[in-house]
Amino acid sequence: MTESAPILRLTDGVRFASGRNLYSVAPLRCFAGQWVAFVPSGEDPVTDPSGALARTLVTLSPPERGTVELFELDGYHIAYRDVQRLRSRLGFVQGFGGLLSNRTIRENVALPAAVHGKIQLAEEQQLVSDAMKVFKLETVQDLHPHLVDGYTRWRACLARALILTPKLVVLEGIGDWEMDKGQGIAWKRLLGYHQRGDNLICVCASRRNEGFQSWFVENGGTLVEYTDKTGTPSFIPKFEGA
Amino acid sequence: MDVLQKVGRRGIGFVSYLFMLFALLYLSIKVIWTNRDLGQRDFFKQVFLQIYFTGVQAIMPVTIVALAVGAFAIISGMGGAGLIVTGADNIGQIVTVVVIREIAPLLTGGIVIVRSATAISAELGGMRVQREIEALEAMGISPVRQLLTPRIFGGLISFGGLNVLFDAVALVCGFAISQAVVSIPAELFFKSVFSAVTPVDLVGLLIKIMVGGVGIFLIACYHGMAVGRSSTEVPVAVSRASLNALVFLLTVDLTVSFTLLLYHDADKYLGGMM
Repeated sequence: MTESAPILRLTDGVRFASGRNLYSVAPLRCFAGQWVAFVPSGEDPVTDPSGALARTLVTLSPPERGTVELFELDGYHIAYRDVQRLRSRLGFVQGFGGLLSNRTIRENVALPAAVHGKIQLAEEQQLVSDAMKVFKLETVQDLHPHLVDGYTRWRACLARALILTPKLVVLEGIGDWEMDKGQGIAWKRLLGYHQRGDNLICVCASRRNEGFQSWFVENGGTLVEYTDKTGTPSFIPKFEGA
Repeated sequence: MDVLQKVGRRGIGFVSYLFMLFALLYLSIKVIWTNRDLGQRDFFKQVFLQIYFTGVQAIMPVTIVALAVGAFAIISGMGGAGLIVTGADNIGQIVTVVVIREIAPLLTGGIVIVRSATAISAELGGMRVQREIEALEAMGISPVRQLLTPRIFGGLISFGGLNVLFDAVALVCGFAISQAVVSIPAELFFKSVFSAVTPVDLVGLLIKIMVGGVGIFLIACYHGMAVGRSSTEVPVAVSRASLNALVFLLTVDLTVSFTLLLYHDADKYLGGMM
């Protein structure tokens, strides 16, 4: 991949299914250093297709039409082992955490490093300890996910997604816990991570989440804080019912 | 016509079920090779954990059942066949044939199904519902390598170990009971036991352990992974997994025993009848 190559590219009018409905996203090229929030058009206030779009972006759910390219690879038309390699280069944060219930918080965060890290155990432990500290998970690291609250689970999931410093981070929504205008631990860490400038962050958001008032959206190469909750600005990529 | 259709549909369903199981077994083995460049620490940890859950934690129930079976085998053998008169050779044969070759794999398998197969299918089913499998996929981690292969291999190793434990406990218990009743010298008892065990018995036992063990855990994993998005599917999966695993174990044990009877024991037990 060249320096200027897009990390994410949607071509041919990507159309994806969420439940019984079909949605489409306009062609798009996203680069390192950008923060993109995908927001539904709001035509259908009942269903929330954010999760379906997020899964489509991370090659978990093939689109009905169009092409999703990650790191210049069509994630839906390569061998399964290559898909695994592709996915190991991105961080995916599920809306409700998606931590493995048979592992402790620490083991969950360590999992990508243990499988994909190709590092010594001591190095891995150090990496995980750092993540525990940054995301303030030290006191709960030996607990299983069901013993901690939802926000802690989400933080742990974000820590897990960022542990191998992926170039693409996809978030299936932002939790209600992060509504406090960017004051949350995870939110700050995510912003800090984005400011490295070498990664692309995609948030698949739901308009129903009206409490979420602070958007950081790339607009013409600039990260813009958008606080108007009355509508969605024109520069935010929308996906609409097809 | 309806009956034919139903039978045909069931037949096709059965064949496709077997095909899926074989495909899952193939994938479970293949993934070890295709994912060989990934970290191995966590994989082996999962195998050891499965050995702990299926093997180590089942030591007590298997020991208790083996004690009971060892005692019953000797008591009923002595009483029913009047072996007090005929001596230690026959006692050894009873323990060997009844316990080691037939009862041990069957009862151990039953305990493993009740304890582990149900637990595995419930756990995997729950993971499907909670989208934990999807989380693994999203991390580029094969759920087959991470969840299925360690459970199948760990479970198989545990099943083999538990069979050996069952045999050992049943033998010692059988010896203790026989001591209490007829006072057979230890050397004579164990000599009669080991002389009654032929290489073919051991091969039969090994086949039962290997095929039965793999089948039990494969079926448990398959039904767990087949759960969709609803939690109501989990108990159905557990029920199907345990029942199918039991039927599979019985079928394997019966087939191996019958084959041994036809091709190995026929001369010994049936003489000129065959």
